[in-house]
Amino acid sequence: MFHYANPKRFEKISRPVLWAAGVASALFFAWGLYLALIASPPDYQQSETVRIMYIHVPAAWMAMLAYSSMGMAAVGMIIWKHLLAGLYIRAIAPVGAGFTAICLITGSIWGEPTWGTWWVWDARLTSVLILLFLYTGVIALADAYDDRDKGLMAASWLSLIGLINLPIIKFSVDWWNTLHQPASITSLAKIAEPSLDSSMLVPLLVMAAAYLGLFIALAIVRIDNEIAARRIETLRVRRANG
Amino acid sequence: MNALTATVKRDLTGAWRHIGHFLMVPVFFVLATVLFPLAIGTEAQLLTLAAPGLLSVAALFSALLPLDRFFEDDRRDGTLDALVLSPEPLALFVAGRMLSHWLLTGMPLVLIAPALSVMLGLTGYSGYITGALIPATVLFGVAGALGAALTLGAKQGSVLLALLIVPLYIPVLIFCASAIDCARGGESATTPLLLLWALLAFALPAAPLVTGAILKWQLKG
Amino acid sequence: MAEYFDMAGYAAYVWSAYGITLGIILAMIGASFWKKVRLKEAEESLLTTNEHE
Repeated sequence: MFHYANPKRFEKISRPVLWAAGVASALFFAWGLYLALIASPPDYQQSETVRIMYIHVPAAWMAMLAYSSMGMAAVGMIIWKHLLAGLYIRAIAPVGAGFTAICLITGSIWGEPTWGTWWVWDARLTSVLILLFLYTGVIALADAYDDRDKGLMAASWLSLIGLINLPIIKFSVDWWNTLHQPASITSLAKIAEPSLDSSMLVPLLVMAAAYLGLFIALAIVRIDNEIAARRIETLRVRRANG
Repeated sequence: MNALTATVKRDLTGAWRHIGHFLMVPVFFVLATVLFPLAIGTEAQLLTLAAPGLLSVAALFSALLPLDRFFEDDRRDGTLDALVLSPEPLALFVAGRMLSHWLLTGMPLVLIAPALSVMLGLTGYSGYITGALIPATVLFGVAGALGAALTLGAKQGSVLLALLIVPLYIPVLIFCASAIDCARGGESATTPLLLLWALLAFALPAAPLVTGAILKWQLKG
Repeated sequence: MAEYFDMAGYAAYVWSAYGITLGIILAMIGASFWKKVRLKEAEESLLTTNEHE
């Protein structure tokens, strides 16, 4: 893996991986949407709105996965000074934020017919909302320095601190949630997560695979962009210095 | 005298010159707390129910105020550069700065809060309020130091700082407010209090080290 | 067919959720490729002006 930490070598393998991920993602989306919208049954209690779960839950998984990967990349940047790790963080922070937004918006739309309200302070939605702040912070910090490399390192530190903080946040929000939710809403929340038999689990996993493929493809395109931006910056500096 | 005590001594004696900067914090705390009844009405039950959260949020906002100057003065006059080059670990300086920061901005809140709580209809819970606010204010300052180190020299540093440390503040806020609220509701406040002090026990050794490492990177590049 | 799109009366919710999700995904893809094109143009213009010197 460290072999490809060199940006030049990365560009050589990125093309085929991009194509593979893109095609795989498209296929999984086709299959997943068929399952989610047509083949899977409506829920006993939630009727057709349960179909929103198939785009909401995998988005939450991706939001968490993306942030965790940023935290791990941060270790690579801070300890081993792997530039590619830093570029990865700046590249995919907006993508992670995008999945977070999908999760929050679909969660809200799902909540209205299910719980009768556009926003519910349940543990998952609240944790994902805080995750959005974590992403926004990394995105903002990565661009807050004139020296772009300084921004990379700062964003890496923040990602690492955020990763350590993430289980603390999850724990505190879960705890807060059980403390303040009246019993009726807690049981409603359980209803909203129907016990998953395979007719519902399979669409969920296929959509998750589709999201993951999309994520990998976007990561590659965006890292390539970061590498190109650095090249351009170097060219500009060289020109300015005559 | 090591770097920690030297820093505390320097900060406390130098604070008099910037006294307004530090007085602003408890003043804001009082203002913020007093504004709530004006906004939500004086219905006693409502105020009492909301008081633990109101106090905790007001303390959080007050803690944000003095953060942009956490390292700024030392950066500007070159003290930070000298400290990075010195043989003493930077973590000691950071720990000293965190301590003086709490003494100047956190401790006043802890001392005033019981009186304010009475105004919000929360009488007789001073012990819990103090027991919750001490770790909470220390943790607010510790996280603030981290944020200040991360945003040293960044564009729009102060706004960015607030955005960055809110996620660090949220668990502290949850446990602090819950501790006081459990006491108010007659339930056991042991769990949230223990969690708060546990967070403190974890953060106190770890944060100065991490902040020191970040400062070292910031200054050496 | 119309009955299917109606989603047992929840059409507005289900389709808007899927629509917004599609929108955000397309926006992410679009932004990434748009930037790729712009960066390529910038690099090319920098390289060609370099040659002229």
